[in-house]
Amino acid sequence: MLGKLLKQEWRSLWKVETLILGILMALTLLAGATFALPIWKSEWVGIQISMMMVVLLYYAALIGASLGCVLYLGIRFYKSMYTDEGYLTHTLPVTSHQLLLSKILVMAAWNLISTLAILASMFVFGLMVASAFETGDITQAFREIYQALRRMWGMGELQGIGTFAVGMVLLILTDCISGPMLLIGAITIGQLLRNHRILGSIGAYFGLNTVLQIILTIVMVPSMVKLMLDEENLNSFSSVIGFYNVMYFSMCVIYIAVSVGLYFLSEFLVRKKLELE
Amino acid sequence: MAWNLNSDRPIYTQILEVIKMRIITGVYQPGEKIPSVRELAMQAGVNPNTMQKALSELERSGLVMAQRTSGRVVTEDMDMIGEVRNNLAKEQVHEFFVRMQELGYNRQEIMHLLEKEGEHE
Amino acid sequence: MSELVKIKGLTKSYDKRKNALDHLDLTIPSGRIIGLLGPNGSGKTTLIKLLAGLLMPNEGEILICGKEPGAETKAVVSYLPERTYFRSSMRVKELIEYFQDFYADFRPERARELLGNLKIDENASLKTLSKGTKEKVQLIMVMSREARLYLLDEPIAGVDPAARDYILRTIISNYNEDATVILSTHLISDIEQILDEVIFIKAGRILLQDSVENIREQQGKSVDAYFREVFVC
Repeated sequence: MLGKLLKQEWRSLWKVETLILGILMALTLLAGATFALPIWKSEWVGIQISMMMVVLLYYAALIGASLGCVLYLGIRFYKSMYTDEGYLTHTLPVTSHQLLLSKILVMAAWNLISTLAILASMFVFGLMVASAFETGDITQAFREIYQALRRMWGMGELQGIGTFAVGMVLLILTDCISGPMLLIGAITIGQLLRNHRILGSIGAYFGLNTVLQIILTIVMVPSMVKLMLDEENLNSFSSVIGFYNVMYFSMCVIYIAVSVGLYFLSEFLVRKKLELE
Repeated sequence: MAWNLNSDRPIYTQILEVIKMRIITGVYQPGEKIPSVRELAMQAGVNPNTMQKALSELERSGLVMAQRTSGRVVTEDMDMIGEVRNNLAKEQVHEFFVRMQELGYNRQEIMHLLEKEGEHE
Repeated sequence: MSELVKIKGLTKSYDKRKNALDHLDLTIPSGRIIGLLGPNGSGKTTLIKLLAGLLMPNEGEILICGKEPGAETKAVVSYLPERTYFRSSMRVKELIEYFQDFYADFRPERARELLGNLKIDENASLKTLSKGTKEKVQLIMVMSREARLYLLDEPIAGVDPAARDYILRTIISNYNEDATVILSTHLISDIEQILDEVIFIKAGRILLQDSVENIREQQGKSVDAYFREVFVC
């Protein structure tokens, strides 16, 4: 049953999500391409402003796509669970665990895909802008960076970088799961109200986010203070990296704990407190 | 729906009447297979259980016979069919007399009226 | 099964003041077509939603084939709500696939046959269909399952007479003795012929549960006429 739910979930999401990301890619290339135009070489005063406009528009597209993807996931969840569609969803012969898990997994997958797409877009845009301004060879620049990194590695100055990279990846992954989980939690909590359920969900979303931030800060502060107090630490690459590693891994743990908590709460609410209009 | 069933009398008795009529008038020939419960229920627009009840009653009375694999068939007993026909006719006559008597006619007046009107039929 | 549905002391309230359903007791055998009749707000839809597992009772117990409403009962209960409940971006054939995926008792050939009778194109997108056609598609999906309990909430309201006939005939032709159909409606005269039994419900309580034949015989009038008497405003 779970497999079938996953299949149907995927089908209901992929078209719009792909559309949003596709448009983002097209705009990225478009924006990047404008930098290759010969007008940048001219002496016109408005050049600076125009450049900034293009970059700003690109950022807007980036934020728009990012928000759009997340919002669409939330909207589809809400529609399939709590509007007329909910009548079909909740009469399927599946448990609330299967229902929620299928939605979380697919939403997390799309979160990951859109994150990667956004990173790719930023990378491509950066590349296109850079190549418009550098008279040198881009590949040469990459080679130099790579060689510098290798030298630092050889001298033991990059200790902790491996863990750092793993930490970053793990953080992205847990964020992809906790993001949807926060949305789902907020929406199911909002359903507890008799009226103004959507407002309730929005309120719950901000509430949950706030609680999350508070927890993160409480956990982070001690190690941040420790880092700051010891002046020597700030100069050492490895202790800064070490700090970031601790921070990232603690964040992962917190995200996972919060997600698990929200999951069980949501499952309970769906199973026991369903009140379809 | 078809069969023009009256809404304030039990359906069961009405269906019985309709099927009996069909047998008597030859719509369902002696020895012929009649449609299944489901088909009849659909035709009549009635509940299959009710139709089943009516058909079971017909079986009990012998007008229809259940065959093991192929549903129900009308009896070939012409005498029985004739008797049912007769009984229905008698009922009509009885009802007629009751109604006429309500109108205030006595037996002689009824017979006289019958003869006179009978010539025009 | 003599007790397909067994309900004891069922109570459901939406707010503190009033109970939508008030300590209801009900037993329903299989092999029946039953009309759930009552005025608006009597609790018909609430009862049906509870049976479908869309609402949770405040008190009391519901057993369908001996189990409480959940994933297992949903596999044998086929529910037709008053509203259209499919994702409108779907095509008819995707809906067929959807039902086939989730319901082991779904018969796609039957669905295709019924759709063909009504000349509905499988490739059509659901949002391009008229409201009446959408309702028929939904009914066809629901009736193409070989379920144990069919819950039809106002299946003929707002439907033209020809379509009404079609729907009622579909319900009859779908009949089997292991299943029961519960129809809720306020259009009694159109459907009483196809019903075995009726349940009168008012203000969350059951007023009577009896066969159509008994009512006609004992009251000397149609269920519709009797209903009007019982529920006089």
